[in-house]
Amino acid sequence: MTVGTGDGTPDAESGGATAATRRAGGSTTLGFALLAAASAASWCAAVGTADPGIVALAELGVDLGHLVLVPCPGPLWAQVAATLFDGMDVVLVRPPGPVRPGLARRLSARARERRGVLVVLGSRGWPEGADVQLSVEAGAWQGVEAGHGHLRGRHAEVVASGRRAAARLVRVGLWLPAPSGQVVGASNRPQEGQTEQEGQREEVEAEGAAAARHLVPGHP
Amino acid sequence: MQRLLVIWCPGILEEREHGREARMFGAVVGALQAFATRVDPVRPGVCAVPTRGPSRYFGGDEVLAHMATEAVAGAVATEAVARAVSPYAVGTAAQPAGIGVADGLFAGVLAARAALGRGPVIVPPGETPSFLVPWPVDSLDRPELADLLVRLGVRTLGGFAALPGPQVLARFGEEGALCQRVARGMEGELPGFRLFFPRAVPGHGAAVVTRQVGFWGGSADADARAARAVAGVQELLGPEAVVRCRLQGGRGPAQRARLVPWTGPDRAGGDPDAVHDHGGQDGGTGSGNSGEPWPGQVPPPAPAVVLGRPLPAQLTDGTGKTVGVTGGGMATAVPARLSVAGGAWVEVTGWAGPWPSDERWWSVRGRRRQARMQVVTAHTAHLLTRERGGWWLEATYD
Repeated sequence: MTVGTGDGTPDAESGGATAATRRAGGSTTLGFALLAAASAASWCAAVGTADPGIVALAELGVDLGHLVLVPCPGPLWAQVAATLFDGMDVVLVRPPGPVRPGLARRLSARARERRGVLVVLGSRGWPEGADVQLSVEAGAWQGVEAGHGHLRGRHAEVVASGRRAAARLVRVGLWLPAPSGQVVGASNRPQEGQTEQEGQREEVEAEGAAAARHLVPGHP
Repeated sequence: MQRLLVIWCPGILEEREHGREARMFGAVVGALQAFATRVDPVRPGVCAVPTRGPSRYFGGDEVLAHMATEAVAGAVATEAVARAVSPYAVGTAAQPAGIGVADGLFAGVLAARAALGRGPVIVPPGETPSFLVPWPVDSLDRPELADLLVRLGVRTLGGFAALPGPQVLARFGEEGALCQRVARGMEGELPGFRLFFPRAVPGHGAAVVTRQVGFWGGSADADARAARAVAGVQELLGPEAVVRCRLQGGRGPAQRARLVPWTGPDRAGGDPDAVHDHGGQDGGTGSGNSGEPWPGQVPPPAPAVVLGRPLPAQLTDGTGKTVGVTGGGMATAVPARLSVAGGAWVEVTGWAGPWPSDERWWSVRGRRRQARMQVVTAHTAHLLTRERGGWWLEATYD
C-alpha cells in the first residue's frame, strides 16, 4: 500500500488552484505519526529525511528501537527503499524532487509485493495516485501569543482521499501534534492544565489500533 | 574461500526433549545477530558467521571473536538461569562454547573445537592448510576412509594431503578426492556436514533458513530480516549510511538526540549509552524530558524537523530593526518579520520566549550563551536561536 502525505490539496483535486494559499505545514509530523503504531511491532525505515526531529519522533510514539534512518541516500533513494522492503514493514521516503512515473510504479509495486506500506512524505512530486493520500490543510499553532506561552499543539485539518476502498473523501480535525507530542483527534480540544487526561489517552490508543489495522500487514 | 567464525556448542549438538537445546541454540544465534548481519546455523550447536564485513567494521577477527565470546556466554548464561528455574531442569551446567576463525567451514569447526575451554582460536588468513596438518584423519568424519588411511600408515590430515592426488582419486574415488582437497585446505567444507542450508542471497525472496528450522520466534525472525535489509542498503551506500536514533539529555532539540551507526537489530544497538532510550519511549507523553532538569529547555512538543546545520535568519520588528535578546533574557522588540537564509520575508503572527540558556558543552574555552524563541508564521512555526549576535533557524515545527 502506498500512502502519500503532503501539504495542501493535491493539484489534481483542487483543479489547479493556487496551492500556496492553502499551504499548511505538518506533513512531516503526519508522515512520522503513521510510523508510530506500526513501530510497536514492526520494523520501520525512513529514507531521505535528512533532519528528522528525533525527540519529536519519540513524542509521536515512534519506537526508536524499531526505526532505522537512511538520512542521505542520494540518487539511489528508490533502490534503497526497495531494498529496505526486504526487512521492513513500513518505509517512509522523502523523494528529493519529482519522481518519474515508472519509478513510482515500481516502488509501489515493490511495497505491494512485500505486503509493506510505502509512506511518501511531501507527495507533491509523486506522479501516480497513492492508495491513500493525506493532505494537511489549514493548520494553526496554538498556545503562543505575542511573547507569552509556548507552542502547545497544532490544530489541523487533514483530508484523506484515495483509490478503491479509500475513494471517499474524508476530512478530519487533528491535533498535529497535541501538547503531548502525539497526534490525536481534535474533537477533544486540549484545555490548559489538563492536557494528558485519560480520555484523550484512550482516544489515542483507539486511533493507534485503527492505524495499525491500516498499516501493519496481516494485522487483524 | 569464505572466512568464517564458527561457534561450536557441544552441549547442544543434539536436539533432545522439551526443546531446551533448540531454545539455547536460538538464544546463541540471536545474540550473534546483535552484531553480525548474517549468522548461518550449520547444524544443531554449530553456527557460522562470515567475518569479512563484520571484522572490517569492528576492527579485526580478534575483536569479532571477542564480541562473539561475550555474546554467546551471555546467551548461554541467560538460558541456563531460565533452565534452572524451569520444571524440566535436569541439572546440566551451562555448557561452554568454542569459537574459532579460519578459512572455510571445516577448518573453522576444528578451530572452534580446539578453542573449547579456552580463548578463541584464530587461524590467520592463508594458514589454514598448515593448521590442518596435525589433525587426525578421523576429523573428516568418514570412518571407512579413516580406517583405510590408518592401515596405510597415514594418520594425520597432513599425511593425507601429501598423498599424490591422482592416486587418491583412483583409490578412494570422487568422495576421497574431495576429502583430500578439504584436508589440503583447498576446499572449505565436506558435503553432509551442514544439516541446515544456508539462506539465499539477500533480497531475492527465498525462504530464509530461520523459517525452515523454526527455532526461534517471530520477533527474532523479523530482526534478522531487518538486519539483512540494512546489510543490503549498506552494500549500496556504505556501512555508515544507515543510522538509528538515540535520546539523551540536553537543552536544544539537536542536543537531545543523536544518530548512531547501525550495528545490529538489538534494541540497545550496541550503544553503551542506550539507557537514555527508555525514558523517551514509553508512551511518548512528554518524553525526552525524562525527568532530567535542563534549564533553558523549550517545552514540548518538540519540532519535527531539526536542522543538522542551522540556517542564518533575520528577525526584525515592525520598523525593520533586528530583534535582540537582553542579558536578562528579554526580547528587545516585538518580532514582526522573518527571513531565512536570505529568502522572502514572512510575517510573524505569534512568538514565545526567549528561553535563555548558558551552556559549556560546546567549547572547552568557555560559555555558550544562547536564547531560543518560537516564532509562528502563516504556514508553520520555527525554533530560532540567538547566538553570537545573529539569529539561526534551528528547527521547524513541520
